Amino acid sequence: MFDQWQVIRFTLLVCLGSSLVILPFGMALAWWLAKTTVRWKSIVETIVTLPLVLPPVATGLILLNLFGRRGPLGAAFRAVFGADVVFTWRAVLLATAVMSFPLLVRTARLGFEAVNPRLEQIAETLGASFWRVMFTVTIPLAARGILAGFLLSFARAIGEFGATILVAGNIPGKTTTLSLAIYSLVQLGKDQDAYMLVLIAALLAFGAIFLSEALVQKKAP
Amino acid sequence: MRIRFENVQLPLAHFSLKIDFDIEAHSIGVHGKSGAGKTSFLELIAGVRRAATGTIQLDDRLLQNNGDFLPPRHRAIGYVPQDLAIFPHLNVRRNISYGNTRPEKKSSVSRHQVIETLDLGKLLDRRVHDLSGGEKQRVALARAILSGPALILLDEPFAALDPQMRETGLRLVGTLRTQFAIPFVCVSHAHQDLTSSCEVLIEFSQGQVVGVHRNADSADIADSANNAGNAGN
Repeated sequence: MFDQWQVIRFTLLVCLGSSLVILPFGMALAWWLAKTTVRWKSIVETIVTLPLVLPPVATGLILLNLFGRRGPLGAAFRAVFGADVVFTWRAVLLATAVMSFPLLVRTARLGFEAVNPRLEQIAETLGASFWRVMFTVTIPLAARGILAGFLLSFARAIGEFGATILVAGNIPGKTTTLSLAIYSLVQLGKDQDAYMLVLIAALLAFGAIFLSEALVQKKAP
Repeated sequence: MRIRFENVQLPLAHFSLKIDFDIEAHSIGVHGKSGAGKTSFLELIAGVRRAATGTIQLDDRLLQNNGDFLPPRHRAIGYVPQDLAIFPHLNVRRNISYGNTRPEKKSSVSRHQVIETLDLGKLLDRRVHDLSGGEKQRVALARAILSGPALILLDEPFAALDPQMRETGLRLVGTLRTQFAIPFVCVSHAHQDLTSSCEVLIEFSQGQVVGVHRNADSADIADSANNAGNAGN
């Protein structure tokens, strides 16, 4: 019942898309969390981390209500783009993005915290603007942490299940991802086919986490 | 160069910096025990730190006037901190060129002259993490000079575990005066290292200026500075 390659292609594409979409926002937030000293910072931290510990189904339910046809954000999206979010590939992207965001922010933040602020100060005394310092000093020096966060968020997106099935359903050829396909196959008793997908999911996850660990541990000289 | 501090205050961990002076000199040496506030003093001039209150003026420019604060990128003040802060991800060439794009330059020294004088020609394509302490010091100074500063701030250029660095430090400060004619403020905990190169010596203690002396040899120093300045023009 599944075109397995379609499922794999779709999953890789959507997950890569969601990791890329959250990357600039995640970097900005990670940078801010690393630098700011405001007192309400811990509240922001908590909200960002919430999807990591909340039951994914609960996050999915909240998203469903927000982005449903009659939900405030769903209606707004429809008004602007003329398309629905829920039960389409956009919902898969939304769910994986929200669920993997905390991992990106937390990992990238470590990268930003490791940048010696002295180097940024000196760059400023040499005439560099805020953005020049950002792109020529801060981001290059935090790059390992950012890339590690990107890979972790990608791996997390591939494994996403609970939130996705609520907002995107499990529509073959349309919103079925690797994780959803494994679930369906097991329910149908096609364990053999399920294991094939499990193997692929495991390989992808292994690769992403292995790379991100290597990046984090091998400190720049 | 004229530097004026008026009622400048900056609370630090154990005491407050309270600085008030008006000095005209081509080269100023700052000495005093470690922890006397010398580095904070340089950072106020560089704009890396902001004074709580007071006025800081360099020549005809107000660097800070209570709430009005000229950001470091518009100050054209080169800062060579004690840790040198070489960019670890850039090679020597890109390190020394970093400030070269500054639009509002206050001095101009040819790139070629800087590379020659500081003997950096062979190092240009080297990565910075395998440079020696003395080599790093030359890179940091070249980077500051090439940004076209009105003034260069040097923090403990003679203090290092590496004895080679004290030598290069002394030589470099001399070079700054004789070859490039860029005014400088140099901090050192050792008074004797400053007497050979600075026109005016300031002594710091507990965050306050406790003495300002025209160096006995200052006539010679001023002369050589002026000569270098004329030669440069």
